[in-house]
Amino acid sequence: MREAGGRAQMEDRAIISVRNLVKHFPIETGFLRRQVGVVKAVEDVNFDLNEGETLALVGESGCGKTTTSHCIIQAQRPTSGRVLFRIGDAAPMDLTQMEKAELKEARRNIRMIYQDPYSSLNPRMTLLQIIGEPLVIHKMAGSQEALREKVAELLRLVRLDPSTMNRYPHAFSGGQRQRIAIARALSLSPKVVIADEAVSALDVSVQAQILNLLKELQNQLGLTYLFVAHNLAVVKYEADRVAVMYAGKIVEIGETEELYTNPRHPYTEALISAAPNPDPDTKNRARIVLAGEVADPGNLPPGCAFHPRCRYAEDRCRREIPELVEVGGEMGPSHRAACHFASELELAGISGGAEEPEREQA
Amino acid sequence: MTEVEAATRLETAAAEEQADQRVLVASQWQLIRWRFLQHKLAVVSLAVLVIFYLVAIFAEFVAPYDPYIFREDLTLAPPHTIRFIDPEGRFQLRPFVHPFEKTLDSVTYAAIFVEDETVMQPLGLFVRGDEYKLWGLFESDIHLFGLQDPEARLSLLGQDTVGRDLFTRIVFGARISLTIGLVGVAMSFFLGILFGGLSGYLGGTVDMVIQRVIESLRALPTLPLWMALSIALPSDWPVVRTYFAIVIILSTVGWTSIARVVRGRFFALREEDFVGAAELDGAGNLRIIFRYLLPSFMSYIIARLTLAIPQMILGETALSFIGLGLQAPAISWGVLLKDAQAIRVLALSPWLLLPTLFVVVSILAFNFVGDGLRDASDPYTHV
Repeated sequence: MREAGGRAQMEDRAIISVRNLVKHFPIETGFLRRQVGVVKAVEDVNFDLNEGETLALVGESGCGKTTTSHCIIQAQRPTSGRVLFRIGDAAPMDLTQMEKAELKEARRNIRMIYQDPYSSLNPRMTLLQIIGEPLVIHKMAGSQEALREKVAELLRLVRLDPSTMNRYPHAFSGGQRQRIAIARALSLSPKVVIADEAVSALDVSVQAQILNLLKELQNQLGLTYLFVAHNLAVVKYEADRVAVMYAGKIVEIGETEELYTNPRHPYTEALISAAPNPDPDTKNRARIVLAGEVADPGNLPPGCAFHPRCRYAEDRCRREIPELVEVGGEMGPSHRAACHFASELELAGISGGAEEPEREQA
Repeated sequence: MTEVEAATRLETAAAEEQADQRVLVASQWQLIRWRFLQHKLAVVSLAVLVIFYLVAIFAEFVAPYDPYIFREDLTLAPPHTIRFIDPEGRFQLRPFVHPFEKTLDSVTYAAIFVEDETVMQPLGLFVRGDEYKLWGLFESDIHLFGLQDPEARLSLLGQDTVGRDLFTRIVFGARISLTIGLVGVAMSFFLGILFGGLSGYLGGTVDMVIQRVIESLRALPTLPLWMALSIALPSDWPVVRTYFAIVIILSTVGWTSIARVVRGRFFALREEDFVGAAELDGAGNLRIIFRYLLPSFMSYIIARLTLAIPQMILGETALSFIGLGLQAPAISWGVLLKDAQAIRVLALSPWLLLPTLFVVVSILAFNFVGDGLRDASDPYTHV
């Protein structure tokens, strides 16, 4: 029954469908652990991850993008909601309902790359052990010789020298370590790779190499990426579609090009304007400086969570929570935004400039 | 694509230039060894400890006499002066001693030992002397060194109150005093990792109960606790059983600090990305504990334990000194020091305090080795 319902809920191209995902963290206090509040880290998030695409999840620190990715792979169990996962034409499975053994199987196909390559590799293990670990655990290695062969192949795949497989992580630079982490993620031939800020900890020059590598691997192996990031320049290069998160919710989701040139949510506009632009010719671009901190997910403002920082906010925004609605028109691909005035506002995208740099009145 | 390859090659080359090729493939233990070898004091101390333990292992062979055979005529005889110049002023290649001649002070009736310069008793290596059975297996009467005349007695560090050779007894005492620390620490190690691991890995109620027990144990003053526990030991137990009972008593207190460290490390490490990655790889709990958590701080634990051994040695010495630990006929440094309790000893036979010197040297050596290990134990911090 669950399967039939699931099929109806999944779009044709989707490999992962997130439905009404909610993750709350209780705030406890005192000796008896009395619950005094709740941090709404992820609140009613819906999206589809289509096979073969790269979907970027962007937003400020604390907006819930990492929690969302952890809830998809069940590193953290969501409070409610469903995460449907389907391989090919098989029936979709709900990851949130899975027991440990089932999850172990499902996680062969959904792998994760961590942000910090210095803490995500066990310093006590050699590359052979680190990259071979998933193969050993899933008993896919056979003999020691086959394992070495497979690890060498993976190292070549991420452009590292296979003769270094007996070295320890301390012998490698940050970029090289992230390649090792990618090799580990790919060792089980997954369908989906979740990259949690996979390049944020790296130098800009090294970032480009890793991004190129990820793109190349996607073409070569037909991978699907969920790319968690806060850097819009990186996302523009890498992603097919972008979902912008604010205070635990998706506020805008659409094709990358469309969203960058024609944002429909004031928060997206602010994010785009904040992204550093290396092109010296676009001097006149206005930078929108957002006042205040990102909304506290333990104490969200009423109405639209973004309204205290929004320069277009009106009374309605303080009362009503906006729905995520289609704004892209009938013809084009889906573009949805959660703003009461999405169709009325003239927002600046990456090419156009706001007429007059209007500073936020703090 | 070619750009990527070229850049990677550059990156690799740069990384290799910085680090010695050996360091790149070095395992954790190799890195620790290299770091440790740079700590000169620790290396010297380690050498001292190795010698001490070799002496303890081969005590029967190293000691020139049987530790229980006494010579009434040599009661409280002072240490010999080992000489190379004979009374005629000629240099002798082979060192020798003059035997003692005992006289009584006509006023105080105190024994006076005077060297008889007419007799020369040369020392020798691998001389025959008291018979012994090494480790209860090999019968022999060959000793590492001693006087060539089996009837004469070399008083290297003086004689005790009943005329037993003090150096011999110190050598035999090392056997108990140095191993009680190791056995006790091994037990603490086991208890500490077991309870600390449970506490840190399971958390919640288990953690709370174990932590309260640890706090209670640590709040008890150790000396009265030891006294209470050792009084509970039946006095007719054989020496070996008493020895193990004392080890257990010492470790009941010793494990708590290790348990604390293990718990803290478990908590911290469980949050590390590489542990999370291992969980996502599908690794089970036991695999995570033994392959990821324990190896990450085993070196640190070993360093901690090295620093804990001296406490065990001192504990044994203190207990035996106040008469609650090992009792004669067992020989330990604490038991030997018990002889030195009287003020008369301090005044007239100060050599009976010499076991203290060995206690001090071994404890300092353990501390220096522990220091060196602690500095070397996390080789990844400064690579």
